[in-house]
Amino acid sequence: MELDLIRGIWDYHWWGNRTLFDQAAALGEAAAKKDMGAHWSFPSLKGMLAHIYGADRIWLARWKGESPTKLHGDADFSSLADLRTAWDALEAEQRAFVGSLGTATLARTLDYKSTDGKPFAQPLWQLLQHVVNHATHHRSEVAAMLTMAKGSPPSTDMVLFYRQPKR
Amino acid sequence: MSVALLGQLYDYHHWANRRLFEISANLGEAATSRTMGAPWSFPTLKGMFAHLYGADALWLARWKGSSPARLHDDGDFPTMADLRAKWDLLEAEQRAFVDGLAEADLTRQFSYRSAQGTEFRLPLGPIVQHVVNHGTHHRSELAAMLTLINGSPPDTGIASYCLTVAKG
Repeated sequence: MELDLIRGIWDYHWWGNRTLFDQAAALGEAAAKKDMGAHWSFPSLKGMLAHIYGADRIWLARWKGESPTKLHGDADFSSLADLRTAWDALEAEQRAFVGSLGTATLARTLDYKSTDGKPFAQPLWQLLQHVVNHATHHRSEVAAMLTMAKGSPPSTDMVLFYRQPKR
Repeated sequence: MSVALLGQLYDYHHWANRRLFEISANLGEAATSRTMGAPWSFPTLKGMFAHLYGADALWLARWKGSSPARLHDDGDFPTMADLRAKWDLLEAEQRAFVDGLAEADLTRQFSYRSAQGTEFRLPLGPIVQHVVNHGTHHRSELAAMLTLINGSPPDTGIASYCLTVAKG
């Protein structure tokens, strides 16, 4: 069951990301680069989405035994279209990783170093939950920014995802 | 392990809620009732917390077999202190429910009617996760509102929680 729970939240994660990405992309590249204020974690829609990509990417690398020192962000992508291409490839790699997990792998302690070289050790399942939760935090900011730009986007509440007909 | 996974997810949920609640409560009742603008799901800190309480209470009731027609909200709580007292009780009840789950409960389907009367049938385990995810969405808004009022609050990520509180 724990594998189903983890796979379920990851399916939700990819759906939530795409739902909001598409909304941001529909506004156009200029709107996605607009500075929306200082109280956000990242000031533009593109910057926020690039951060979700960057965090997802660094964690996937850590799960595969690497400890990258660079966190990708806004400056690595000239446009949302550019980010989309990179993200599609990352998502495919994530799907392969999550699909290959077994119960024993979930409980495995993962050793990794933060970008500034500090060592950490945590069970993999905590980190698999963390990445989805991290993105929900920033998806909430994306939703509020979209609300400012053109009105409230469709909800990405997890219950709506589970209420959909079987995927 | 599934039950332990959800148990720790709720430890995180309660920790993060309390972390932001305490910072907000310290700002005083007037600040938490101040309207913060239009892009938020709920316009005040108190309203946002009251919604978190309301959603948690509603889902807990549904898991226990009832379908309340009403979602508690800002209007039910005159002050943050009043909300805190009720939330402490709810948190204990939620904790007992999650701790009482057995592996077989997680795949069990439960039925409920939404406040509008629509009937739904969903698996319990994923919806127990949903409530925490729902909380994170609104905690993000609380964090941004607190940033506007008095600067960025401390992080409420799961990785931080696991490293600083649960110690792995």
